[in-house]
Amino acid sequence: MKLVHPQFHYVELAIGGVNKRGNIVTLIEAVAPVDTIDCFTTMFRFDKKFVAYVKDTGSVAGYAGPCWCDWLWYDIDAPILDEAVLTLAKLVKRIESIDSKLPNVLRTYFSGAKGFHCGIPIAAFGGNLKPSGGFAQTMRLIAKKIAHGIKYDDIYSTTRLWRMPNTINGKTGLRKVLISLEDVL
Amino acid sequence: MDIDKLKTFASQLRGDLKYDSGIKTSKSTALCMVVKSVLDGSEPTMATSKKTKKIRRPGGKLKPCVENLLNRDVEKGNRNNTCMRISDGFAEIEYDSDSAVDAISEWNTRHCKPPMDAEEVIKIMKSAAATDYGCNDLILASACVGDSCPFKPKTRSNNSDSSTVHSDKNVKMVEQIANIRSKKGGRQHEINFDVAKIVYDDLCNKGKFYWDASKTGYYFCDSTRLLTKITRDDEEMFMTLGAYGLRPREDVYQYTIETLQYLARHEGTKTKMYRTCHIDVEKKIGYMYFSDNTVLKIESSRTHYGLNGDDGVLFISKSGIEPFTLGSLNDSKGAFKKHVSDKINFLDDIVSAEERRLLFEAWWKSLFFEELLPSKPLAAFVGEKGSGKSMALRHVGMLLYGPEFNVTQIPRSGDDFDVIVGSSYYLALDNVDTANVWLESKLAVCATGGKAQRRKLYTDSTTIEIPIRCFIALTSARPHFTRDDVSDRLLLFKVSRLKSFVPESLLRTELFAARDRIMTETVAAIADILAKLPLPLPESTLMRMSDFAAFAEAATGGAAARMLESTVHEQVEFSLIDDPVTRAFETMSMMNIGGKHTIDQIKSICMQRRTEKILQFAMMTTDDIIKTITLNKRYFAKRFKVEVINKNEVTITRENKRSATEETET
Repeated sequence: MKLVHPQFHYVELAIGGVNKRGNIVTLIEAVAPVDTIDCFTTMFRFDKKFVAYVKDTGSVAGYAGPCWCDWLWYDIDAPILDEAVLTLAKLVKRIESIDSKLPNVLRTYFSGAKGFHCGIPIAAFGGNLKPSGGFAQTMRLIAKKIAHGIKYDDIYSTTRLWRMPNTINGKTGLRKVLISLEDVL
Repeated sequence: MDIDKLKTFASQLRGDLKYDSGIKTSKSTALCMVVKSVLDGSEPTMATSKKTKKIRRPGGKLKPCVENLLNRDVEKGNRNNTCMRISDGFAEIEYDSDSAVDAISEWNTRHCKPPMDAEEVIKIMKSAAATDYGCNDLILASACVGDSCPFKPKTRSNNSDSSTVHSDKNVKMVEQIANIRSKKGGRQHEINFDVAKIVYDDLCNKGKFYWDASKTGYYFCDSTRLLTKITRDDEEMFMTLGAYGLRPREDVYQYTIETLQYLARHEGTKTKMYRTCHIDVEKKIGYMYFSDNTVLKIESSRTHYGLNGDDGVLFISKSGIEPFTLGSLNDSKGAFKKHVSDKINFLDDIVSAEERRLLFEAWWKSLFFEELLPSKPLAAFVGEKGSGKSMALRHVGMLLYGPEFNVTQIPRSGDDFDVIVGSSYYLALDNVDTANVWLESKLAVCATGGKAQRRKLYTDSTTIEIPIRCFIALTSARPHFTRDDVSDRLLLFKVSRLKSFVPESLLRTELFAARDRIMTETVAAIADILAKLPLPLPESTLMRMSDFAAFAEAATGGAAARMLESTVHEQVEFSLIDDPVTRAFETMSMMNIGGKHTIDQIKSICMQRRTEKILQFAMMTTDDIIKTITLNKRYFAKRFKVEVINKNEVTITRENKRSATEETET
């Protein structure tokens, strides 16, 4: 599929834990080796300004430049998995009540521990969204408005790391895997 | 959901390892509205009217919908609202105020049935200056001309918030209903029929109809999972029918309710409705219903969440427990004892304080096993003021229903009592200190789980049956529910005055901080009892509430038998508190009179102190008095040392400390 905003093709890759940061790569290079534990990329993708910022400061910390993401992600976490399933069910119902076709385009991952990552494609939001410095904050507000009181973790910061699909969660030994809603609900 | 299946998925690769760059999908207009509202910093537009800055089109043309409203007949109940919209339409184009008054007055005279007062019309016109009605307003939408309207906003039907939004389909349906209702020359009963049919058909598409043994119809919405009682007064039903533009004051509303009730009975499925908790005894599954329409399914080996209506178990909306976070079932032992039962100053008496605490904990667990207790004990907290009676019952309610729960005062009439009991799962009656003629009978019925019958309002012979499945708890300092058939069903928790007082706010904070742990512990206890089902019935029990006796045995791990025996003795004592014979012997004891006496002698001695009870005693026959003493031999023997010599004579031995001291001094 053609990439939207192709100039935003840089992400930070952290292999082996969230503390292994500082490695800026292009999307093509952002591939996790098979069977690696705890691999993350930034949830948002960035343009050259990000690369320059990291080069200057040596860290991604404090970056507030433009960014973009192809999904509006929800991180649903709970002490026990059953509860997370319930929250996921509520969220899907809520999304369905906004637009009955939306559940068909949702992408849901089991996080490999006690939660789920559920994403709504940004394409569904139309052309009003543009890459910007406040993109993460916009995502936060949209997520809040859609969730309408349903509990989820606030993950909407510009340089937030996001577990890569199919990589192993170090805490449980299980992978973050793509699942269909029928699998869980 | 199968957790193991999920873990199997997660143990192997699924899909590729590349960055997920989204999918090609068509935009969702509803989501676009969300984005727009976020970017604009405003709320998405709702279906209902809202106060906004009024749009002005000086000298412009009236909107077609307003013109339509001006030509439409309006009945009582809708006149005010329609007048507001018309006035708003005139204000929008800054129509000359005198001319607007004339036009609206003419509309009032010609189309309002009956016409409103001229002063009222002026008042409405003034109020309309502060409001602005958009195309999503239901009344304006009902008169909308559709695409031919030159003022139609581009995003008219694209509302984003679905909880209050009317989709295109709904708006069309509202329009359809409004058109039927405004049909000129249409007879009212035909209009009512058509509207009710549209509503019924639409509701059938969105959910199911049910009815229960009390012959009440219910509607279950598939998407919200709410079970709504089909009655005119039900708030949920008001919201459901309100979406079709129907209002309770209108005839068509009542007609639609009656139609839905009829069709629910004839087309719907017969089922059983539950409140708060349900136990499937055969399958050994417990269900705990939460106020957010989710259900916790408890089995002896595991717990998992579902939604209202799963497994065909339906809970009535608004009967749900306040949601809590379920922790590990093994880690929360002793939380209820620490935070609830240890805070109560139980009295050491015939039943020891520790036994009372254990029984209280068993009673708390029994609240989740309604099906196992067709006859329910009446938990009575009896003690002087400042003994924390109300607090104990309030805390139990708060654990179930959250901070909004509070104890209830005894209602004025027996009918009100029936309604409260019929619509509650747990009822805490506070300060039951006044003698009501109906109270004891009602309490006895509640304990046995009967039905309350009432005459239906505005009918001669139609009765309503209200099934009673409510757990009742009472507090009292001077109990008046001592009738023997009531005291047989009492679970007496005698309490004494607290030595020091802790602020209620602090206790509440502590309780809510521990609520998750307490409820987790309770869930674990429920799972434990479920594993023991079916509960073995005790071979013989002195206690009349044998259902509770069997339950308490299981809940306390077999320690209940002795406690319950003591409880029975206490019940007898409680029932004799106000007995005339007891009062007579108490009087003798106070007068320091002992020895052998005939009943007649006792009567004449007691008559020196004429009280109501003594007079009652004086009027009793000798046989009745001897019978009372014989039946409650143990009680009388213990308290007054009364022995029956023959059919007419008794011996009273002075036992109390005061008389003994006086004798020594003499």
